[in-house]
Amino acid sequence: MRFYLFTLIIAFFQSSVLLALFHNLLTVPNLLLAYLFINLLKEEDHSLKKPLISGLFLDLFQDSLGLHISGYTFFSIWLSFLKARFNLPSRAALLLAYIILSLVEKLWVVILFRLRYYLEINPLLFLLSYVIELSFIIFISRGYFNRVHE
Amino acid sequence: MKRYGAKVLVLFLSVLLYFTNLSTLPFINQLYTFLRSVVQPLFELKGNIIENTKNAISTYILLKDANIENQKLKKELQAYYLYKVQLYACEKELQGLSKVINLPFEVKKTSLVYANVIAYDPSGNDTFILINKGQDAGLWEGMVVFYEDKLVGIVDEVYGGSSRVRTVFSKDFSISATSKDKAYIYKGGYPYGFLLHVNLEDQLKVGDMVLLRSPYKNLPPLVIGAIVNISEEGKSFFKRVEVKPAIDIRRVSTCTLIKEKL
Repeated sequence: MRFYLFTLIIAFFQSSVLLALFHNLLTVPNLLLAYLFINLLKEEDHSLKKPLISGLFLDLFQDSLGLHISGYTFFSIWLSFLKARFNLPSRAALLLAYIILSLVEKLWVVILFRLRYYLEINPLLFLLSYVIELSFIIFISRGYFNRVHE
Repeated sequence: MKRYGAKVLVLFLSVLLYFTNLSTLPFINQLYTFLRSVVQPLFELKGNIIENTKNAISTYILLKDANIENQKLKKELQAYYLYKVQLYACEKELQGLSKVINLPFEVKKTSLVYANVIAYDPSGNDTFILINKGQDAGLWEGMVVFYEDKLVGIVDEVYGGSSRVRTVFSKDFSISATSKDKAYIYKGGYPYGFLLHVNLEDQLKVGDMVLLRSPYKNLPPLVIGAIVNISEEGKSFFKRVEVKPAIDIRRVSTCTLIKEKL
């Protein structure tokens, strides 16, 4: 329940404050994805419930029903694939895994969006957004590793 | 392999949901509307936060140039004040005149909504744009959308927090227009739209302005475009008149809506 409450808050923050700051649906830092990533890592064999509901919250707030649900499901499939084959023993490994998976997810969302609409993407803004996203995952991954070491 | 199969199926369904606009189907629409109504207070809060954050950012960014910008805007505002006074004098004269000839004359106040463009047409033909206001801002289908004094289009689909605007470049767009005080129908097209039913004897020429016409509504005569080509087609009763829309859709980042249906 705690996860869903936090998800709702992050989705709301992302769709109101961050969307207003970055102006563009595609260049908003996806903090929810980072939070979902850490939470799915904690689970042994994760289901689709968390990615689906996180995506639904974001879709509801951003009026894009289906776009984020599919993005998060896609991300979840690749994550379970990765978890089955690799361990993430350090923060660097975790960061690398997140960079690869999140870029794939972003590419998926951009392709889906671009098939229906056109929106210019500012590379500098995208970079700034991505740096914020990575900083966020570094910040929240501390708790994850503390728990693992315990 | 089985669990991946289920996940891929969900992925496929979600992509289908996105592309087919299933949320507009009666049953799903009800569910979607219910879900949205549950979080409606959050939506209102979200709207306020977006507005305030944008204002704060704009203020911060413009802080450096605020003085120069202010001086420029003050001059513009002064010119508009003068224009307003002139219009007010015209209005009074028209009221007097309407009393003399016993013709009803009424000036209606129009209510406006300001919106930001959130997406453009990917085909490159600029047939539609998406704006960030929808049912949450009380929009409805048929509202006139404009930028500066130019007509952008008409709202043709309204969603929860966004709307689709059919632009003057769309082939599905047609509206009552006027040029040289004669009424025609403007039909959209890319790169040029058309004026329909222009008689052979009509004295239109290249460069003439085409304006919005709303005989039964109090809408301003927004600029649709200018005539770029006139030709006669065989034995037809009408001329073929091509109109270049005045608006450059890709440069429009904000627009204004008149809260009145055409």
